[in-house]
Parts: sequence; structure tokens; C-alpha cells
Amino acid sequence: MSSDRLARLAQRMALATLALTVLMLVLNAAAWLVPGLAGSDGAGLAFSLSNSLLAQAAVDPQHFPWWQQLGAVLLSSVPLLVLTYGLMHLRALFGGYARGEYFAPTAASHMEATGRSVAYWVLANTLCEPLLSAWTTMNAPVGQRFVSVSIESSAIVALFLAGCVIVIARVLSRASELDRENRQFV
Amino acid sequence: MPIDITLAVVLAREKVKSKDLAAAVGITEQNLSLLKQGKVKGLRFSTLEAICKYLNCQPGDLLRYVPEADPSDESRVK
Repeated sequence: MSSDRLARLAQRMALATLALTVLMLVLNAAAWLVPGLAGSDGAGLAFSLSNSLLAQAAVDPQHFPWWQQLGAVLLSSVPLLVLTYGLMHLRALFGGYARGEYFAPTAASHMEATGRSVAYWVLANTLCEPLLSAWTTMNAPVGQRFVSVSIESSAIVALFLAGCVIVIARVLSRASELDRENRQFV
Repeated sequence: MPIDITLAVVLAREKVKSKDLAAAVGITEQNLSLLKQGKVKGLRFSTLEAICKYLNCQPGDLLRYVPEADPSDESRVK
């Protein structure tokens, strides 16, 4: 692939990352506020934590008071905001690649930040799930309130991949040092 | 740095402009300037060969080893 095509691809990936980030946050909020977007018989437009809770019959945001809906939006957004931090670094990484900065030290730091963010996103999901489940079922009838804690196989895979990305970022950092040293040879 | 670059001396002696040498050797004027000042990390053999060929000189005319003063030698002399 030529440099121009690579730069264009990187630019498109940067835009796609931004679009995904905005869409993710907006749809997550909308899933709790707009009936029919999520839930077991909805359109399926919810993300991870929100999706798993809205699929529960006991969780019906349509009957939530406004403060409970707002709290659900905020709690479910916490892991997504953690992921957003990483996605912004990913966008910056693609932006650097679009400018041809393949071996810049900042590329390695962006990649490592992205990997760390995915790991923290998994952790935030695990920590926010009991909070969100308690929050969304606190007004449910007795016997339908619950606190949910789960660790899915997808979380394990995400943690593993995050670790891989972090290691690769460290290798890329060393590569950028070698490149910088090589550039000092004439 | 113990390796002294005497390229500027050879350029002046041969009356060659840095711009012309850089173009002939295939490096940028900025890199040639860094080389003259001794601020590069290393010199490729291909670049050294091209410089010697253009200036009709030997590598020894361009590079000189100047050992750094050893404090232990000074105390022995005293």
C-alpha cells in the first residue's frame, strides 16, 4: 500500500473513531431515555453494560422518574467515558499516521494509552454493573430488586487484547528510539 | 567528542561549497552542517566514500582522533 493510500486510510480511521465515540455515548444515553431503542423487544441499540441490564424484565426505564433515568445514564456512561479517553488517543494515533509520523514517540504513547483504557473500561464495567443494577431496580417490587455482578468471557478477551496492545506499544516506543538514533546517522 | 571532524578544513582547502558537496553526496545541507559540527551520531561508509570521492581525499583527512584527557594521567604527571 502506497504512503498516500495509507495516509488516507489513517485519516478515515481517525474520523470513524470519532464518529463511533460520539455515536456510542449518544446511543447509550438514548437507550435509557427513548422507549423502544433497547431492551429485550427493542431495537437492540444499547452498549455492553446498558444492554445487559435493559434486557432484564425488571428494568423498565419508561417507568423511571427523571432522576432515576438521569442516574442510569450517568452510571452507564462511566465505563464508556473511560473507553472514550482511549478512543481519543486512538484517533490521535491515526491522525499522526495520516501525517506520516509512523515512528514518533507520541505514537507509542497513544497506543499504550488506548490499551490501558480498554483494560480500565473492562474494570469500570465490572465495578459499575452492581451499582447500576441496584440503581435501576431500587424502586422495583420486592423480589425483583437485584444487584448484578458478572465477568464474561468477552471481558477476559478484551483484557488479554489490551495487554497485547500495551506490549506492542512498548515495542513501538523502542522502535521509535532506534529510528531517532538512526536518523542521526548521515 | 574524541572524533574530530575536519571536513570544514578540507572544504576550505579544496574551495568546495557545502551546498555542492551535499548535492553530490546525496545528503541534505542540514545534515552536512551537523556533520561538519560533529553533531551526528554516526557516519555511514557509503556517505564517507561519496565524500572522499568528491573531494579526492582519504578518510583520515576528514576524521581525527583526539583522546580525552584522563584525570589519572594528570595526577601521575604531577
